[in-house]
Amino acid sequence: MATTLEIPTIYRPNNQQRLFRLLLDAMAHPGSVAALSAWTDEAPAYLAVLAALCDGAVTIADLDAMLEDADWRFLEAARADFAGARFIVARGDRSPAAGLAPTLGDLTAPEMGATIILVIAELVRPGLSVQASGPGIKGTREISLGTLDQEWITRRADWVRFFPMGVDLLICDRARVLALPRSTRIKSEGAAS
Amino acid sequence: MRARRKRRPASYGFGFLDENAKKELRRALMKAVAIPGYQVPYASREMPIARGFGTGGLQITLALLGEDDTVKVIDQGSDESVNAANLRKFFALVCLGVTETTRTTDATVIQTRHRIPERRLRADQILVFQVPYPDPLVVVEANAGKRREMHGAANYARLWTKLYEDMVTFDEITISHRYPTRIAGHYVIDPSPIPRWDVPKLHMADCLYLFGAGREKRIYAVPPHTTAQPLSFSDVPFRVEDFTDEHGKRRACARCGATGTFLDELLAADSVKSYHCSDIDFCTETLKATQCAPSSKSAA
Repeated sequence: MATTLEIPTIYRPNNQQRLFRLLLDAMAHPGSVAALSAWTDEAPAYLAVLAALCDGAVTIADLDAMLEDADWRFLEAARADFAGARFIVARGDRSPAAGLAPTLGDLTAPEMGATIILVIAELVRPGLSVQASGPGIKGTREISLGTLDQEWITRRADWVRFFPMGVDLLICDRARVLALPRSTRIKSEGAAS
Repeated sequence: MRARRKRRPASYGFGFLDENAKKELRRALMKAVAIPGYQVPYASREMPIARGFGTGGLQITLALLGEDDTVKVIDQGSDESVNAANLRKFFALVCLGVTETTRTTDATVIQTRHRIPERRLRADQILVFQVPYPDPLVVVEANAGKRREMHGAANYARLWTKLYEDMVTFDEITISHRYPTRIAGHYVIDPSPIPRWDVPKLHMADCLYLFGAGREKRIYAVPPHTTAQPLSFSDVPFRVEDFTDEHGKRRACARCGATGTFLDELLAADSVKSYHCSDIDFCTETLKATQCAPSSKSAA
């Protein structure tokens, strides 16, 4: 009996194109929230981001074991630890591990700096708020980072200190994503009530 | 003579490139936007046009396009030159569902060779440049590895010296196009062979600029609201092309009458010179607006 493989929505090329355009727009406008739900069929946003950008040519470090075996098969990417991974997925509402040291690239190849995908419960809920400026932002912009643990912003400051080396953050809740590229300058305002 | 059999439509996947090639381009584009002005290396694919005819821009556009996009292609401001018309036809052939246009305002993605449209582009528009030579340091350093180190350290001393030597020899900086421009205070880019007239449009734009060099296998970007400073000395400011005539009057387009656009000089068979807008869509829209204006109606 013939069986057919049902390809999940986020792995279909036309949906990946639309997801990519939303991600590119988010990266070009740091702090703007992109809603992915129209193209994900209820798959979590972090998985949609990985599906849109990853294939067998990249490595992923799954720090909090969020990816299931089926996800790895569709993503085709190789597993890696954080030190060598091009993409890192982690829970953002917990503090990063003390020894976490993602690859930052080097002066001649800064593009090798990791893309870190942080998964939080809610992006737009009152919580951590920061003042951001830099490329893609007209003047300054207050960005709400919802339930993101502030320690990530503190650690990010160390990682992006020596521009152009650094990491680029994609912060996801269930259906939305927000980008903080390494070029964005951040002034933390602390947690709101 | 034997009649030529009509060709069937090409049976390519959407966007001609395979999905892995598109993903590699997309990852490079994300990093290019995250590191404004940095030339991200990528595996430029063989395309059905020769390298040097816009393969870099073509690959970026194919990685961007979706069925709901409207695409415009210009070559030196014209939608109808051989390069632009053929690339537009190619998009229609391999991106079924994509709408073609020659109107700047209707386009979501514009691929360009050597011009930025006169009309300010919106935040929802992307301009993709075809770039022949991506590295502005190539004129002062032959070694690619050394150039990468110089870019990383933002060490442009030798480029400044080259500009200074121009000043000493010719009393002005003689670069007419591909004017070296510093992005977000760090990387200096070659903005492709756009005229000086277009360089200020890179500064604090609303739209996203993407640059693709297919032969040199590099992609770079200028995100929206990003500083773009053409290199110049404080006592010798950067200046754009001068279109004033011998009487000190700004030349107007012979077709639409616009006096605030970049002009092409045309030489007729009888050796009479005339000046026309380089951006054909802008010229046509200005002409339409002039013809529809109440004053011209009453005059008619």
